[in-house]
Amino acid sequence: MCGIAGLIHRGKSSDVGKELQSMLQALKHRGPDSTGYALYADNDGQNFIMRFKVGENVGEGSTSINEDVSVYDTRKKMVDKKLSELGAIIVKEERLTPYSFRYEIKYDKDLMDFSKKIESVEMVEILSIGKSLELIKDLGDAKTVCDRYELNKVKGTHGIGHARMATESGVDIKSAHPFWGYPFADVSVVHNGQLTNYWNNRRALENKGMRFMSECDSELIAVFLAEKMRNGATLEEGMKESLTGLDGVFTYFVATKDSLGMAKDTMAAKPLVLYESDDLVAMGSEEIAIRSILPQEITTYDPFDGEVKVWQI
Amino acid sequence: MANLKTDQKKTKAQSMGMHTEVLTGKTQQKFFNPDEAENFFYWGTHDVDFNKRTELDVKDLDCKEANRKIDSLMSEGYGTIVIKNPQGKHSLGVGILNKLNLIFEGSLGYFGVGSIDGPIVRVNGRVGWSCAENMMAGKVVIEKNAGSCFGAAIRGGFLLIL
Repeated sequence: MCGIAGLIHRGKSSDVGKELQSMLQALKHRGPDSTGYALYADNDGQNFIMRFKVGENVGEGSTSINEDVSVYDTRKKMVDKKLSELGAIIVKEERLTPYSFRYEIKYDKDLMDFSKKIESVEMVEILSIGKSLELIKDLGDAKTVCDRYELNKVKGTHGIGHARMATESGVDIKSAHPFWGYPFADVSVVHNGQLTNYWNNRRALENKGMRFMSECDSELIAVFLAEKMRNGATLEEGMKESLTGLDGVFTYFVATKDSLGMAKDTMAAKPLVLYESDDLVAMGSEEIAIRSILPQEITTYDPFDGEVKVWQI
Repeated sequence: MANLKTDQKKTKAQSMGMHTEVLTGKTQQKFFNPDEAENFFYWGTHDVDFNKRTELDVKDLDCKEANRKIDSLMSEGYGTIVIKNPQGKHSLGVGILNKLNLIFEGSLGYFGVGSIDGPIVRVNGRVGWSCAENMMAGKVVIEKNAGSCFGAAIRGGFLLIL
């Protein structure tokens, strides 16, 4: 039982960081382990924003290995070295916690080679690459994570978020949602449910050269869609194929640079409540998430089984 | 009538008369005699007047507080209760074993008005999953739409989605 929330403002940008924080905080009871945000912020669109982590010193409640903080500096230096080898220029760098970084970089070649090179450094994982995507995930509830990474200030058009209750894998950042649609810039996925054909799909996709960072079943959705899109499918086509290609119970959201989509499995076993108007679409696992940003009386509904919807900004 | 919800556990059996009851077999007959109107009511329910109307704003209450408040309003004899700002909260109006006119001005979340026996409920908005589960009697009218498992495992009563 996880909580997912997503919203998209059509035609204008808004305080998505703040809004998503209150939506996810309302869903805290569905998943207290970790919280993740994928926000599509109003950046200038010139440089790639790369968020990555070099370890996971997240302490109590975590299943990850605690390491000495000094190794992070060494790994950061190795990442910097790889970047200069690739010909990428670091425009701006921020260190948000001892283990997580946000780089603005100039780079115009293939992202798959790029990611493979960077992640060849031990324990380094790229959380996201994109021109507007800001992907943040950490242990704690929505407010804790939002404050730690100062997301209240983020303005943008759309975003998706996730409050996780770990059922299929450990409590750590690498298994937390959202997942980046490696190696596509600006693609992210959140998921509520369980996938039952994870290993079969994973083996097939790994043979095609796709990469898995965790053993979390939800990562499969991001990789599955990325693989479909790499072969020329649109987001909506990929999502429709996932209804038969993925087995289990799921409700998931996908976001790209200019769109937001939802899909519900054919058994409709995971909840979703949807609010749709001309300038705003908001959805969440429970209506209270939507009500936290829209206190007035609104008309909402549950999507049906096997439903796929995509909205553009 | 003794109120089962407020009575202590120790005195519950005593207030039902089980300690003084003579078990001869005739007690069974007496206990379920349909001529006595009081046998149609649960122990601990309240005598309410439908013409007595009140409003309850649940915006800042959680579901337990709101449900307790509904119970205490019924004990004061209010027979028509209008709930303001339910705002998709879960488990509102559950376990009401009383006759009552309950009106929600807004939408309910999951598990709304579950395990009820008797009240007439009208929801001006929608309800999420599992509304009116395990209902025994009464009426539930939803003006907008309802999620899955609406009225699952009901044993009686009347459900309507307009």
